[in-house]
Amino acid sequence: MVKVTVTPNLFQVPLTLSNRVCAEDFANQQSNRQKMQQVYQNTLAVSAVNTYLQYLGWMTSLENSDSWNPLMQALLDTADLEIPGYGKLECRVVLSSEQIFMIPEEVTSERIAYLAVSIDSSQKFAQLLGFVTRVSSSTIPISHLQSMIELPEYLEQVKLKSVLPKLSNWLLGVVEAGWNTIDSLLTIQPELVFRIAPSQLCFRTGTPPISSMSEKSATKVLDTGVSRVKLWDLGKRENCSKIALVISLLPSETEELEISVKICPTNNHTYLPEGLVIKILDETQQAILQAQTKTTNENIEFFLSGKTGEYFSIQAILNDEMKMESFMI
Amino acid sequence: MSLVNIFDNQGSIKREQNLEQLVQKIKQYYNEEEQEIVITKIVELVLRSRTLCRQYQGQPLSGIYQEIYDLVYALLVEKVTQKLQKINCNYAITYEWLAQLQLQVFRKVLDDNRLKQLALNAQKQPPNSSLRSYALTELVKAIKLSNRLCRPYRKLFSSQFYPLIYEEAVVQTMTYICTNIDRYDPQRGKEKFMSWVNFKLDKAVLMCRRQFDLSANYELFSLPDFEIISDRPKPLTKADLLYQYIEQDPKGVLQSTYITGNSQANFRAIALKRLSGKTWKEIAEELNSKIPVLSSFYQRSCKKFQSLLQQELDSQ
Repeated sequence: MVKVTVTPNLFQVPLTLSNRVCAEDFANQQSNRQKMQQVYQNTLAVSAVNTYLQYLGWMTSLENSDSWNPLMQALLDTADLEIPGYGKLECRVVLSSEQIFMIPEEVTSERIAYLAVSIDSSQKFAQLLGFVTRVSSSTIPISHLQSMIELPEYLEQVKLKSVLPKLSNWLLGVVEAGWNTIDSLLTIQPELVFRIAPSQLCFRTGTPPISSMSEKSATKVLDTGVSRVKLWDLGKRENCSKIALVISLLPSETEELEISVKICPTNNHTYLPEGLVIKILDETQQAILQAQTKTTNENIEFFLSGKTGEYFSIQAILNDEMKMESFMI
Repeated sequence: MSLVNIFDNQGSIKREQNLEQLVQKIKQYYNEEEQEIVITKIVELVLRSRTLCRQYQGQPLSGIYQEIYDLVYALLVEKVTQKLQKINCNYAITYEWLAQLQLQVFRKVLDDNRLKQLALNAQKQPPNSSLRSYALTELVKAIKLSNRLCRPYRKLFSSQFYPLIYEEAVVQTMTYICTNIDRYDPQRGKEKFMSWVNFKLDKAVLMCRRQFDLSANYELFSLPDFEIISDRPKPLTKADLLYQYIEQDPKGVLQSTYITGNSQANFRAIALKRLSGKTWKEIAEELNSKIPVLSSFYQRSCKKFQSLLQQELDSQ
């Protein structure tokens, strides 16, 4: 079979002004030169891959990436980029003078692929050289890389589910970072007040329906069961709306887990922003439940149930802003 | 700066040599039929350097891609024939001329309707699939090639600043288009595809203007030099505060989390060594442990303590 040779130019990605400003901002939070340089480079590499993936139509989540968190940047030499529902890509800078690329010992977990990124000396563009899916040593020769053209197909196959928040583990007390108890969130951010009023909009799916309980008693149990909250910002700056995503779990008699997903307004707002669309998506990204707010919706609640190992995503759309997070049950 | 160079340069030298041979051949043929064959060969040669209408995983082109390719092909044959009919113009057929011609012809063919078809084709493919990735790559390249992107608000910026802002805005627009292709409604924007794109680009330029007005203190044109920056006295950074907190470990939890059987190898000790820039090899020797054991323990512990450390840092 004839192997098509791909020109490296095909995977040249622009690094923009905001990419450089952001990298500098992150670098300046570090305490020594070496670390500043490292964070700067890591940020540019992640930015390049982020742009590239979005150009290919893939949703990415910088805010769920350690590389975008100043605390984790300080602790780890990390250049990860999360693709919700798939896993993390590690985007490592390769110096143009080197024929190998290095993968630090501390970024070997949860990665679905390691990408080699070369940054032009002008720092105005980056070239994506290729990727490997597994590493057996911390240095990889450039000649061992798979072509970038194979990446979408690889990702399509991966769908690594094990890195998603695992809801069944929540019942065992293992909860992913970013998911706070309602009490602790109120302690950290006392200015944040939100109401978990009885829901006006309720949707349910899954068989069997939520045990034999009436909705009212189910809600009561959910409030006392394992309940975690995360805040989502939708929109930028002055137009930003903060909504609270409350996930509550209830072990049932059957092997299915019963889940309540509740969307609440924050900051003393009585109602959710108008026109907010919330969707619950199944494995194939098809909406199985969907709701859109009108002017006076206090909150939305979805009930669903599923077996361990199944997964779903929650998507919020407000005007042009979209947020999504996937979960494994 | 574009995501994709309009024409690739790889192999162009070889193609140039081949072209020269072909042009020499034309001179030798007086028969029209034979000349036609050579012309199609020239056109095929030039089209090999195209970046648009590339095959998807080696499969033959189809649909809108085939349509664009065929049109470009026909137009190129026509133009090259015209050029040759002028006496003694053989010499004027250079690779460069042909590459320019190819660009012009693609621009002509990529009208709004064909761009729209490329967009609708991308929309048809399932999200997060390699087929959609292919279709979006073709779409982005076609938009750039078509030269139909607007360049709004030039007068609001200095000539030095505008290219930076414009590039930023184009990248933002393209990422928007590609991640929101499902929202494209062919009925809107007077049914013009580029109205949708240019509307977003227009907004993006204004947004970038606001963004960089706010951060005007940045050195926008120079690269950061950390050697200089870090020599200045400066307030404690987040990383410094983190180091202090881990060192003090007021709750004692960081020190009491250690690798089974080796209390020396606790999270506090490893983190402090890592933050001071020690290599894993050094740390492994000092703590009498193995690198993979230490690094995977460290990764897990970082995740575990992330919320705690974040809260402590935010409250300082």
